[in-house]
Amino acid sequence: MASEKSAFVALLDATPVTVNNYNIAEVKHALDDSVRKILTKDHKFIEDNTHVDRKLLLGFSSCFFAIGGALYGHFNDFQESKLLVTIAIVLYSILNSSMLLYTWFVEKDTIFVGVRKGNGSDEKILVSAKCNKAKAEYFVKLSISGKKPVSNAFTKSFGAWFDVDGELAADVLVRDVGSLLVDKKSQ
Amino acid sequence: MDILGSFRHMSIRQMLHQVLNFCLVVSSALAMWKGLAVVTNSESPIVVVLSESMEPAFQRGDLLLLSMFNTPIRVGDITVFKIAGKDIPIVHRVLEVHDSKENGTQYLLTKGDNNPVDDRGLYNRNQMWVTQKEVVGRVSAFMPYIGMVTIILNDYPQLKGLLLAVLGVFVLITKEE
Repeated sequence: MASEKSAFVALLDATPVTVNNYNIAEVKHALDDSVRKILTKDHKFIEDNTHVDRKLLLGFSSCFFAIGGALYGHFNDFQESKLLVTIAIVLYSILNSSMLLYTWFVEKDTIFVGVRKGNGSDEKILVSAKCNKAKAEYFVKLSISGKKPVSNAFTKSFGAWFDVDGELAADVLVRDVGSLLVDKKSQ
Repeated sequence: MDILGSFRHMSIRQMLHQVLNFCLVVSSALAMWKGLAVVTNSESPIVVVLSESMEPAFQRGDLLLLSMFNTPIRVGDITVFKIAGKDIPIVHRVLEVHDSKENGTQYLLTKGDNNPVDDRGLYNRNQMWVTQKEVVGRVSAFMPYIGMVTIILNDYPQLKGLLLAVLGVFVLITKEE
């Protein structure tokens, strides 16, 4: 893997990722996105978007009820439309809070779920990531289940991947993510 | 902030997520407003005083919280009513109440505390009474000065458009934590 040119590095050579170093949320999102892209483009994992799709569905249907209920209430007499508007608002609250609960208790820190089709057996991958705001550190945990299970994690300072101008050092991140995919115990 | 730059690296799902964030801001505002309307049983539970007709009770720029629970309207109540065909609701005190035995509705005569005459001049031509149906709510609480913000925004509509546009772009391009 190290010898051949990374597709992710090539992508970032064309359009570099630059963040505001003082915005932790932006740094975290840039790192999450990059880890996802390295896994799909360089390591041929296929992303499973179930978490995002479920959240988008819950979110957009809650919006549908809130906006629909408000429009219905706006164009109809208040006393006559009150019951339906109330139902719409209650549905909005239920859907909206289930989206929040899904994020908090089901998705948690997950940033990537995917599979890689191998010869004979598929490998399932699960990656979660967290930020320590006080120490400006990024914690990644990766586990692969399949024929050769792998479970690795590391914590590193943001400074390892971003220069003073906030530009992402793609090759360093590619190397770090690559090291997570190797089973250290078997070596 | 580089707007195009923040979109360049986004996948379709991430863009949908940003659009969803925008929709959620709109939805939560609408849901709160309609929720408050349903709870207070008033079509428009918050209004801003635009005139001096109720001084010294209310001044221009006061924010009023309305409610309309099922008790009958009484003389002395301060009501907000919207005359059929007129856009701007009026905040005035009830001077006379007539309960109709035939249809159970109430007919009201109103007057601004600071006005020399009652409101018949403000009603539609030949309209003698405000009907219960036209009453949006009764004033249950007020907060001074806060309404000046909406008065200023209404006086300068460009300001309102600018504010909404800036907030909208901001929500679309920034990611939450």
